[in-house]
Amino acid sequence: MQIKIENLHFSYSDSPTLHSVDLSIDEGKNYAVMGRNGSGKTTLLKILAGLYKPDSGELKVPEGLEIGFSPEDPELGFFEKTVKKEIEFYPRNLGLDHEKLAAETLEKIGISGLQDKLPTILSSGQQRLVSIASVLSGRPDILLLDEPTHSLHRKGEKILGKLLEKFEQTIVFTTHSSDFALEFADKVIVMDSGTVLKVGDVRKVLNDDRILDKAGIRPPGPVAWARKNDIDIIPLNAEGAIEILKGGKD
Amino acid sequence: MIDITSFSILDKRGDRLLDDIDLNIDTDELTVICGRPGSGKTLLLKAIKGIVSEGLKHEGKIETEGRIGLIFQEPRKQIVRRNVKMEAAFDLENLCYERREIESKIHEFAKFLDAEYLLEKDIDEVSHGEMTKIALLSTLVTHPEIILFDEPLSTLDHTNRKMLLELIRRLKQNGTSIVIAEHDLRDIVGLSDRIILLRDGKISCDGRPNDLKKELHREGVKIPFSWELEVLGGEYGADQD
Repeated sequence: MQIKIENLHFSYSDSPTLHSVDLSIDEGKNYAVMGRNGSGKTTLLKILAGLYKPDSGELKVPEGLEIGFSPEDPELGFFEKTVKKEIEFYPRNLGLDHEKLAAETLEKIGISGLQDKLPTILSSGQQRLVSIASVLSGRPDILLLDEPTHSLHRKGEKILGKLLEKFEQTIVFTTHSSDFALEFADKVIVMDSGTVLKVGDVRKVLNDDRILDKAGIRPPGPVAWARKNDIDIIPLNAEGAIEILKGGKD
Repeated sequence: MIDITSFSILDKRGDRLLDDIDLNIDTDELTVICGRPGSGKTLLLKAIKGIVSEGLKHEGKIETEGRIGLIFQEPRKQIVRRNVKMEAAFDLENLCYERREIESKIHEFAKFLDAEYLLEKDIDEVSHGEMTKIALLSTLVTHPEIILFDEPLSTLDHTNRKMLLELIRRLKQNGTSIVIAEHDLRDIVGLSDRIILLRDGKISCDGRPNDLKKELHREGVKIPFSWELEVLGGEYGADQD
């Protein structure tokens, strides 16, 4: 266990935004935070990022832990004149080999072609990839991503997902895409009305109608497919489903 | 009706962000503009609305008939007033409607959107999904013949998505032409009549959704799981609806 939250409360105004939150984050796992608009997902992420202090309760984070945060609106985080400089910024501040790390990250995310462009003129999907690259380049111990798949197309999602799988440190991301969570998260943190409704294995949580209904989450495509075809094992994606079909017919 | 002829948008360096677009969109249709990030979806919507950013040049012409409404990707960015009813009155005041008429139009469309309960609220008090309703209310009161949506679904949760899709279905039924820029077809494909696929600023495909499954998948558009199985699985994936 890397981070522990105990009985945490937080509010922006009179009404509580987060209340009675208990949560443990294990090292090296990928967590998807899911739930309705306004359920407290982003606030939870910002508290983990240290951007807000809880009103009460405990937030235990090991000393010296390097935390990278990519905001929901990528433009908020941009202030350099080129994509390359934007991605060099974080590792440079940490005194790392920023040129090497930035070049590697650009390559991995497949956005080398954008490196001389002004970040603010890019499309929203391109900005999303630049924002994620700009935190990945600093190799943080924990990567916090607010709606990383928002404005990304399927291929962008796959590139991102594969990167997240390879990234060995802890990742916590919010998302409305249950398909993306199923494919690339280990665990789901389900938020409902400002508190944690459930934390559990992604296949179990996203196949539990009671939780999905309560938290307003759409059953992922593979879950709906497996139920309809009476298949016990839930595939993580279309490729997995095809493997199951081939196995059945052989 | 939207009639686009040999339309291009060029940046300062002369790169073509939209390249020689020819497109006709008829009334009563729901058209989805798809494509990967940076393919020109938002630019095309903005051009139809008549807003092209500073520093960009354009060639060719776009002719439209009737009033056009545009719902931004982040509806919060198009809301200018603090109170919901005041916000809904903004365009009508600018069009010099009488106070009584403004009131009656706001109530008529608030009812249509199930948004009457929001009218007296401050913008700061409303939720993310309600923000979309307010932007839509401010647009509908001016009776647009065409409504353009820029990625309206991606920030909404499942419940709000269902709400917005139902509203779009009702607008379509009332004869409004709708153009939506989206890279995620999973929820909206059932309502779509036509798909325009953009690639590097050009139209690469134009047709009915069912005829473009492979092309959409190849361009990385999010398609329903059953389509993905069909495209990837060949004989194994067929009939997975």
